[in-house]
Amino acid sequence: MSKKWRVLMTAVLMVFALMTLYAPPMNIKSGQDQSVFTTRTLVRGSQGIDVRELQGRLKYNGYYHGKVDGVFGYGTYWAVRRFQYRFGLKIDGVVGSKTRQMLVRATKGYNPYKYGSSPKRTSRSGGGGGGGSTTHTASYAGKNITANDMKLLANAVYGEARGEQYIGQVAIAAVILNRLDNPNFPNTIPGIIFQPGAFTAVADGQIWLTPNAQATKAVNDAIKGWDPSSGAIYYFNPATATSKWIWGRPQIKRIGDHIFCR
Amino acid sequence: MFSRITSVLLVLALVVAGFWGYREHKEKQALLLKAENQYQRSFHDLSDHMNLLQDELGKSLAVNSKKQLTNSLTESWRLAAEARNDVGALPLSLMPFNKTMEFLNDIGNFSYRVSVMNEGDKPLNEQQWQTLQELYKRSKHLEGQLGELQTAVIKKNLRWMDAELALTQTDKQTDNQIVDGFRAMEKSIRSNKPLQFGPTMEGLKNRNNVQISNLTGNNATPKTAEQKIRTYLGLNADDNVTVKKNGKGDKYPSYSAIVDYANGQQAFLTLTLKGAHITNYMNNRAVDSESLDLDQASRSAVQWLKLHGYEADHVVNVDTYDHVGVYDIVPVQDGARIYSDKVTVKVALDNGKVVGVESEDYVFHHKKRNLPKPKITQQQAAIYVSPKVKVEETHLSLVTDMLGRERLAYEFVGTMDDDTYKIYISALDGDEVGVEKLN
Repeated sequence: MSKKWRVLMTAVLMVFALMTLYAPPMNIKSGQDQSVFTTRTLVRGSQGIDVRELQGRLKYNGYYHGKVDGVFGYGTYWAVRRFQYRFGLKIDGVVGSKTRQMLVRATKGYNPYKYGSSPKRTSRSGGGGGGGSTTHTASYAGKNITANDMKLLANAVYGEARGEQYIGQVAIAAVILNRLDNPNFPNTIPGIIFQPGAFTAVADGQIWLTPNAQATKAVNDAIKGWDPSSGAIYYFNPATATSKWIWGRPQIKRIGDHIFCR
Repeated sequence: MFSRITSVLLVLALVVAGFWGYREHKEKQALLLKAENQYQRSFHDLSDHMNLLQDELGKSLAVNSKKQLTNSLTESWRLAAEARNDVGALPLSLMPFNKTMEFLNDIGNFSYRVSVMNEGDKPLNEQQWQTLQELYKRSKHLEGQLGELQTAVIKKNLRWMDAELALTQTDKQTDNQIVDGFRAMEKSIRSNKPLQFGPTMEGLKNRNNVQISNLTGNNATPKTAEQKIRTYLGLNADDNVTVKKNGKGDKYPSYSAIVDYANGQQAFLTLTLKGAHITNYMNNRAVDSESLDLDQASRSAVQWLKLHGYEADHVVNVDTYDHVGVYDIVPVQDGARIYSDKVTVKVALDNGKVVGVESEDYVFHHKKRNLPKPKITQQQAAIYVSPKVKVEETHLSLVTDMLGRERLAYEFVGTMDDDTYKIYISALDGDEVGVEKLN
């Protein structure tokens, strides 16, 4: 073959390559209005891909300015209320069937891919429901707890008590949170967890194991206020505890392998 | 011939192993030194901060102008926090050091209260001066002990890693100088008389304590507690209940109970000894699907509370994770949301059953109150909210402030840029009760 041919072939191949590179978004753009709106009523606190769609649509017509994150927080709440006010609906910040239908009608040209509400994660369960506690922050006793602090808490709970029953895990998360308001301990979650000698899981590196969903759930419950330890700030495993001092603390109760004390 | 090759190889292997071992040893030493240096830094920092702290406390005693007082006490507040931080970075969690930590916390709180929160340009009153002087004296003593220990550490090359090791082996009496030094500090602080901080600080300290006298009923036997649980959860005869009295470290005398359902599920409850009031309940059933939305589930939460005799029916916050809806529900009296009596209810989104209740606040605080009449109007109170905040919602509410007192307040929910804030303004005098940033 001559040189000319080779050049031509390369050019054709390159065009092809470019086309395949650009093809997927083009295909999607020409797709239908893929609504993931479900029939469930959305309220402040809801999470899931339908909340993403709600946020995306409200962003499309200018009522919402925040991040499309699938978490129905206050920002979304005010946007819904403004929308309801403008369209003469009942202003309650609740997205029921009326608000939903009105919103779909008001956002005809809406393209889910442009406004970031496309369901990127397909593992979300049950038609828009659920969605883990992946991104949301929480507040405990008036203090906001960041998503990363919650992850650290889950790591600590998993490292310290992955063999324990669920209630024992909630109790351990509660102990860490009880320390937050106690003058004898550092006043941040990382400060408490990484205090030298405070937790064996930190000392032996088990805290860096990947926590399971149950540990995360235990952390969520503890932050919402459940404290099965009844206000404990220490706990120890009677089979392995070497410190005499810890035995002298006033004990509260035993859950699984741990004795909780004050 | 063969044996010569083997021996050469063996020698070679020995040399390699020796070299490897030496390198490992050096690396380990380097790491240990690094850890040791981190402890040393925190320790010497602590000593420095204590030194500066008692200087500032002394200065605040020497002056009589509000301006210099504010400077010195604000600095004390910061230094006390720094010192607490330093202690937190040292391996002292295995020994009693809580009195010293509490002392540092008291200095911080007191100087903050006096310098930042004190209204007007008044110099110290007599009692504050007395307290401050006592704090100064004690911190000077503490600083002296710390300084002595610091000298010993530097002179004798004492290592914190040894102290840490000594602390983990408490079977025998330790003779580690660092540990002994800190024990002595704790002991001398423990022997001091409690300080008079005035009502504000006392309130701050006791705000999390509960009043057992608020409970109705007599001390319950385990049998009564079990009966109470059986009706509360509607148990069948073949569901097993185990009730156990909690130890003396408890916040309030109480029972813990485990319910073993005939179908293998378990539930855990805590009840007060006096009156057998249920303060928390949690079922550990796994919920893995959703058929209700949060709106429907909130109705079943409110319904459930009504059926179980709780006078709380106003949902103020909704949260969800792992297929459960979690609702903060408060009573409303005379048009005011009673936040002090909050109940948290967890509903499984698969069948709408209540799988958890957290009602400590409700049990210890709920009663029919004589609410005062607001002395200022909502419009008057709104003046105390920044004009940059766009107020979207307003409610009258009863909240517990930082010192544990119940205050009638207007609650303004407003936005600034893209963030939402909740601002509580007293309905009696326009005083700011608190601000929260909402998610």
